[in-house]
Order: sequence, then C-alpha cells, then structure tokens
Amino acid sequence: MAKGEDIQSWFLEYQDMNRDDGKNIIVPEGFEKLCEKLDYSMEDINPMVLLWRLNGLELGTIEYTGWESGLREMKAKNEDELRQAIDDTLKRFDKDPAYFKAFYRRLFDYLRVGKQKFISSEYATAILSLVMDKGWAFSKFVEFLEASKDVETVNRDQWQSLLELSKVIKPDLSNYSKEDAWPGLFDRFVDWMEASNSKTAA
Amino acid sequence: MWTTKRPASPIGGPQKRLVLKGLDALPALPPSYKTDTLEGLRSAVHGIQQNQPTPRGLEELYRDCESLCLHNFASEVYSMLRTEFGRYTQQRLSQIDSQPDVSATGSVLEQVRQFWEDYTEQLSTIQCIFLYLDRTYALNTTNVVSLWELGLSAVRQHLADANMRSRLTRLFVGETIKERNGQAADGLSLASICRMFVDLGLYSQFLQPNFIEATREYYQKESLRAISSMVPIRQAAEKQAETGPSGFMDVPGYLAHVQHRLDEETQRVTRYLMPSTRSVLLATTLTELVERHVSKLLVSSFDAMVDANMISNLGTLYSLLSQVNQLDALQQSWGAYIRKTGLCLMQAPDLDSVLVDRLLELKQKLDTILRDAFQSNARLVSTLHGAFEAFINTRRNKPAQLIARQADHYLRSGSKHATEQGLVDLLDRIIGIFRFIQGKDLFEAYYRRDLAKRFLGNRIADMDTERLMVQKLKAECGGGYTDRLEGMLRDIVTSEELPDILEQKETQPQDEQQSPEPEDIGFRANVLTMAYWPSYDPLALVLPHQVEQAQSNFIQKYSQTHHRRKLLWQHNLGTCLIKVEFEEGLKELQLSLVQGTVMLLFSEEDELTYTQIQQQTGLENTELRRVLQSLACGRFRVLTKEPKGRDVNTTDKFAFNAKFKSPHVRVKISQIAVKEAEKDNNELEDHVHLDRMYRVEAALVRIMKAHKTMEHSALSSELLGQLDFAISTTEIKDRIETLIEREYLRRDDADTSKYHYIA
Repeated sequence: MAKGEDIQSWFLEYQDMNRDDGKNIIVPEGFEKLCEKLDYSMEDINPMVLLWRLNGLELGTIEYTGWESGLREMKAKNEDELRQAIDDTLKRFDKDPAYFKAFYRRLFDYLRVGKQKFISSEYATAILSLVMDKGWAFSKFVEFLEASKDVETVNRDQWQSLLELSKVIKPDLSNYSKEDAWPGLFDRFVDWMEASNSKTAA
Repeated sequence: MWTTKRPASPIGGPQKRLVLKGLDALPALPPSYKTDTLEGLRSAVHGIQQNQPTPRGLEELYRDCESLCLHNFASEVYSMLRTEFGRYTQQRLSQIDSQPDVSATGSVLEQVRQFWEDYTEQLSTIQCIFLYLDRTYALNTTNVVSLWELGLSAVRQHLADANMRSRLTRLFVGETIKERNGQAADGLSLASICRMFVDLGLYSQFLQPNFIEATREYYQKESLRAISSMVPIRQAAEKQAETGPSGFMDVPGYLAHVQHRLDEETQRVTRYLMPSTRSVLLATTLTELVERHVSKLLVSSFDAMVDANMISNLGTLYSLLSQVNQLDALQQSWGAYIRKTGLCLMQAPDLDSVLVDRLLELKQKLDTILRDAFQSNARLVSTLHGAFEAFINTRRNKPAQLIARQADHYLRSGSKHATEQGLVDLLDRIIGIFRFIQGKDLFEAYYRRDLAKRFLGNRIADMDTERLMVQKLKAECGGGYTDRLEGMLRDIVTSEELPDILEQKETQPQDEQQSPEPEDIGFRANVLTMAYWPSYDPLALVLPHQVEQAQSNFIQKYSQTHHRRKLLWQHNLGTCLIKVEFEEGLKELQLSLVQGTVMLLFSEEDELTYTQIQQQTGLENTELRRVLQSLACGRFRVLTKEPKGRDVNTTDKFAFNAKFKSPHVRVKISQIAVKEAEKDNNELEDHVHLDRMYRVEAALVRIMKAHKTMEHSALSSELLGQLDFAISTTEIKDRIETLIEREYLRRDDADTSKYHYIA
C-alpha cells in the first residue's frame, strides 16, 4: 500500500462524515478522538501542538491537505511515530525560541471564536498556564487577568506582545517604560505587578 | 617804483653811495659769555622755582636763551634745565615724602597737589622762556624730549625711585574709602592727583588698577557683611531710614543701597576720576554687590517681594540683574514662584468656588509686575505663560469647568458688575487665563451648556455681550472652535424674530419658529438646531390639549416657511405661566411645562390618584414623583397629598390646595433638583472624553496615512503636537491598540516599536 493511502485511511478514521459540502475535514469531535487515541489529555498542551503540526485551521479543525503535509513533514506513519514527533516538537521549543514563537502566534487563531479579533481572557489564561516556562511574564499575566475582571479579552497584538515582553523586559521591570510602544494594557499590567510586589514586600 | 618818480634832490651835488663790506673776521665772544649767560638763566629758573619775580624781563631771558642756542650751546642749556628740574622735584618731593600722611602743614595729598600745581605753572613759564630751545634743539634732536616732557619725567623719575607713587596711590585709595564710609574726602586734591597721574602717564596702568582692586575688596567685604546679616523683608511702615553699610538690611533695602552705591560711584567718576574709568568701576561694583549674590538674594526674598507686590523694589532688582546679565536666574525664580503659588491655589481643597477669582487676581498682579517692574521683558512674559499653563493643567478638567462657570456668572442677567466696560474687562481677564487651559474642548462643552441654560431660563443679559464673548473665543481658538456657539447665537436671534415672521407671511423662508392661534395661550417656541445645542433626553409627556393644539398649529405654519425640517419637542425644557384661582385670590404660577401639565389636570378634577395622574400625563415614575413632590411637598404646596409626607408613593392621592397662600402674586415653583450638577458634569465630561478619543484615533490614522511607517515615539510626539488637550501615554497606546485591532495599523513583525499603515 502506498504511503499516501496509509495517510488517507488514517485520516478517514477521524474525518467528519456528517457533512454534505464535500469537504474532507476533521472537526473537534474527530480531533478529540485522535487525542484520546494518542493518550493526550485535552487539558494539556499536546493537543495544541498536534493541531499546529497538522496545520489546523481553527480549534480542532484539520483539513486533509494540512493533515497530509503535516504527517509527511513529521515522517509519522503511525500513532507511535506521531507521539514521538510531538515530543520532539516540544523539545525543540525549548531550544529554538523562533520555533516556539511561530507556534505561540498561531495559538491565537486556535483560541478565538470564529473570526473574532480577540480571545477571551479565560482562554488566554488557560493556555498560558500550559506554557508558563516559555516566558517569565506568562504566569504574572495570568494572575493579572484573573485579578482584573474588567479585562475580558486579549487581542492579537497584546497576545503577540506578551511573548515579546518576556523576552525584552527584565522580570524586575527596570527597563519597562510607558513611553515605549507596549500596548496600553501592559501599562496597567506593570502597574498591577508593581503594586502587588510592594504589597508582598510590605 | 616810487624811487624813479622821485624828483631830483633839491640839494644837488654828487650822490653818496653806501657800501656794505663783509667782516674780515667774526667778532669773538667774550670768554665768560657762555658761563655768565648760563648762570643768569639758571638763577632765573631758581627764581621761578621759588615763585620770585625774575630780576630781568622774560623777554631778555628769551633772547639770552636764543643767543646761546645760536652759538651752539643748546645742549648745555638743556642739560642745565634737566639738572634744575631734577634738583627741584627731588627737593620738594623728598621733603613731602618725609612727612607723615597727615600733619600740621596739611596732608601729603594736599602738599603733593600744591607741588603739582606750582610745578606745572613754573614749567609753563620756563617753557615760554626757553621756547627757542624747545622749538629748535629739543624738537630737532633725536632722543631729546620737549621741555614739558623733561619736566614731567623728572617727577616721574622721582616718584618711581622713591616708591612714592605707591604711597600716593595708597593715600588716594584710602581717601576714596573714607568717602565711601561716609566721611568727607579732599576731592580737590584727589582730582589734582588724578590729573597728575594722567599727565605722568601712570593713570591707566597704575592708579586705576589699584583703585579698582581696592574697590573690589571694599564691596566684597561690604556685600558679605550685608548678606550675612540680612534680615527678612520689612514692610514699608516698619522700615527705618537707610542704615548705611553696617546696618542690618532686608533685600529691598540692600537693593536700594546698591543703587545708591552705583550713583555714588558715577558721581565719583565725574568728580575726580577719568571718564574712561566709569564702566569698569560700575562693572566691578555690580559684580561684587550683585552678581556674586544673585541666588542668595533671589532665594531669600524674591517670593516675599512678589507676595508683597513691591513693584519699585522688583524694578530695581530687575534693572540690577539685567545689568549683570543674570536675568536667567530671575526668570527661574519668577517661574518657580508662579508655579508654586499657582499650585497652592489649585490644590487648596475648598477653594473651588473662588478659584477662578483667585487665579484672575494672581494673573492681574503678575501682569502688573511684568509691566511696571520688569519692563514687559519678553522672556519673563513667556515664563509667566509657561508656568501658568503648567500649574493650571494639573487638575485636568476642573479649570475648564470653573472658568466656564465664571464666564456664565458674569454673563447671566442679575449678576453685579459695575459697568459695561467693567464687564468687558472681566471677560478679557477670563480669556487671559482660558488661554492656558488645555481642555478647551471641555470648556466649549460647558460653555454651550451654560449658554443654553441662560437662554432657556431667560437669563441672557445682553446679546451684544454674548456675541462679544464668542468673538473673543473665536479670536483665541479659531472659527472651528466657535462654530456651534455661533450657531446657538443665530438660533437665539431667529427664535426671537420667528413669531413676527410667521405672523406676517406664511411663505417667507427663515430659520426658527413659534405661533399662537385658536385659543391664545401665549404659546411660543424656540427652534434650536440639534447639532449646535447640547443634547437633551426626550421626555414622554401627554400635553394638555390646548398646548397640543398650539403645537400642531405652530408646526403647520412653520413647515410652510421651513420645508423639510424635522421638529422634535423637548418637553423638559419648556416653561409655562398658569393663572390659578385660589381662595386668597388669583395667582400666577411659574412652572415647568411638566409641572404645568400636572397642574392643569386639577382644573377639571379636584382630586386625583397617583395612577390617574400617571395615566393622563404618560410620565414615567421617577419624573412623576419628582414633579408631584415639587408641587405637593415643596416650599409652595399648591397640591395636597394624602397621606401627608415628604415622599411620594404610587398609592397617594392628590388634591388641589385651594387654601394656598402667598404674599406674592407670582410664584415660582422650582423643580426638585436631582443631584443634578455632579451627574451633569460627569456626563458632560464623559461625552467630551469620548469625543477626544475619536479625535485621537482620527489624528493617528491621519498621521500614519501620511507616513506609512512610523516609530512609536515619533508617532506619539507628532500626535501630541496636534492635540490641544492632555492625554496619557497609556491612553495613546490604547487608541493605537484599537486601531491595530481594527486593522488600520499593524505592528512591525521584527521591530515591535514600529507601526505600519494598512491601506
């Protein structure tokens, strides 16, 4: 059996059969099934990485073309190899910040609803909690979002800038300036951090 | 040729001839001629030096000198004079020098003056006698100086050799110090000595430097003493007479003293110094007395002087500081004073009600100082502006609100201002501080609200003044700023003219409205263009039928003259006057339209329940409660309520109060104010804030559209340059953020502080 056929029949296991628009596509139910098969908890980061590696369009949605090229790139022909490829991806994140950045940026598309221009702060905190080790500001930002009930959404620019903030700004905030181009939300974030720091200090 | 015409000699005979022959040998001089003549001249010089008359005439002496010179004895004569000058000056000056500074025969200075006067006089006499020598020998021989110069050099020589010139300088300087200390000085001698030093060529190299140095020391000590014992500012009343250099002075006293010193030194120059000394002397004096102490003087007393409005002292300060080029320091103190004083006013917690008055006072006071004391110096004027701007905007929106309120206060009828001119001045002063506030858009919003209130409440005192004020605002901020205000004024005028126009002809196009007809209830309407006037919430109200009729009548007429205009009734702005028959007699009630509508219900029924009233008026609960409260529970109770009480309940019953009494025929029943002001202001400010955010976004898009790609800092600064209100950096970034979100801009992928415009 040609490789292509393996990949195809594998796809068929999860494809959404209840549609009449003729699209070959995996929808969230199918994706969850795949994750189950791989022993991935949906509360974990692995499903997101998997989705990304399979060129997912939005949360839990994979087209056949993405599936095919993704699997070829990972050289994965079965579940074990796929699991291994995902593990390798996670390891590469640690070594290659640019690689992680690409993944991180894509996350925004997976977390938003439809074509909305923002993600809910609830989703943002959930996913940031899974990648906390990738940026010092993530855990702080999660706390900030939880404490700031009036901040209900995070837009793409804020999302992307957060990773940048972790890279550029020192954890003691000594090189943060409100004059710089950081989103206004970060001014409030920094104010909040400073207030909470001085509270703990006192 | 008279000889040829001459007749022949009457005597006749042979003519005699006169024959001239050269001498065979020159006659020899008598051997003692030279010695004798020279001796004669020498004794004549002695005589002159002793002030004795010369035994022989001067003419004769002149001839002697001439003849000696003709016989080539000029150099002997010259050296004789040199010796005599030397001997004489040596003798006189040594004698003077051997005496103490002051003695019975007069001070050394006096004696030197005497010597100098004698000597120069003698010298000119001698010069006359020996004129021939001077003109021929001295003039034509190299390395030989004129007799005058010879005489002077003898003195110069002696002064240098005996070091007498240092002594004279010391005495000279000592004398001036005596004078500075308030004692009399021998001005005559000083002038003469000064002259002597000039003639001897010792003035500018020797006397002047020493004198200036002594001056420096003197004023250095004096100023240190005065500064270290400086006392706080005394009011004019407790000020004693000038206490002189050793007394305790306050700063104004010190400044006056400095001025006095400068005058003294100027006089000193005219009295016994050379004019060329003037500038360096004054400069030295100023340096020591003023320049070195500028910061101390300013720090210790500038604020107090301004506080006490000491115009003339400040004028002195200004003139002194400008003479030593220290206006920078003055500028600093001036700015700091204004900021400090201004901040105090701005931050005083309970001052808001009089804040604008205080600001106006401050501004006027400072303006006066600028004009009368600081000669309207351009830098100080701009410092004033900068400082005012800085402190006045420390309270974001408050100043705009308060200044608008003050303007309203001046403009509304019934306020007290002396004259029309007085009012115009007040308005000018208001504009004077309005100029400094950043939130001019907010001011405009407040001003419009107040103008609307003045007009609708019939409180406009004078339309010309209203127009004048709007013109002033226009002059200050440009036409765009006053568009809506001008529109309002137009509406007001046309509203007032409207009844006549509608009356006259049903077909003339014009702008506004109103009319009565079937039952004349005195109906009158103002037509206000929505875009110009503040926005008001519409109020649902079922009008009494007479009013309703008048309204539709009006609309009908109005629409004949004004096509395609949509009229929207603002019932909550209406007012009415209702005549009511009470037991006491006929009264006129001045009511809001809503109050009037409720009142009119009682012309048919004596008693109504809350629910009935609500049904008939269509008012919602909050509004209805307020109205009933004002009619039944306020100061004038034209309705009675059952059960009694301050609050209105939906179960209450109301009845016409026929027993209502009042000493006045006309009664105004005010509406219950729902914490109006505060809420009103907040709403207005929110509105303005929202408006500002739109303007920020529009400006950002405009700038980015022009630049395509821009750094954050450049964008921010260009933005701030375009805005006339304050905005925080976070607010700017929030606006940028929403523009990114709405895809007008995008952040550069590599350089996160750079934005791109998305076409």
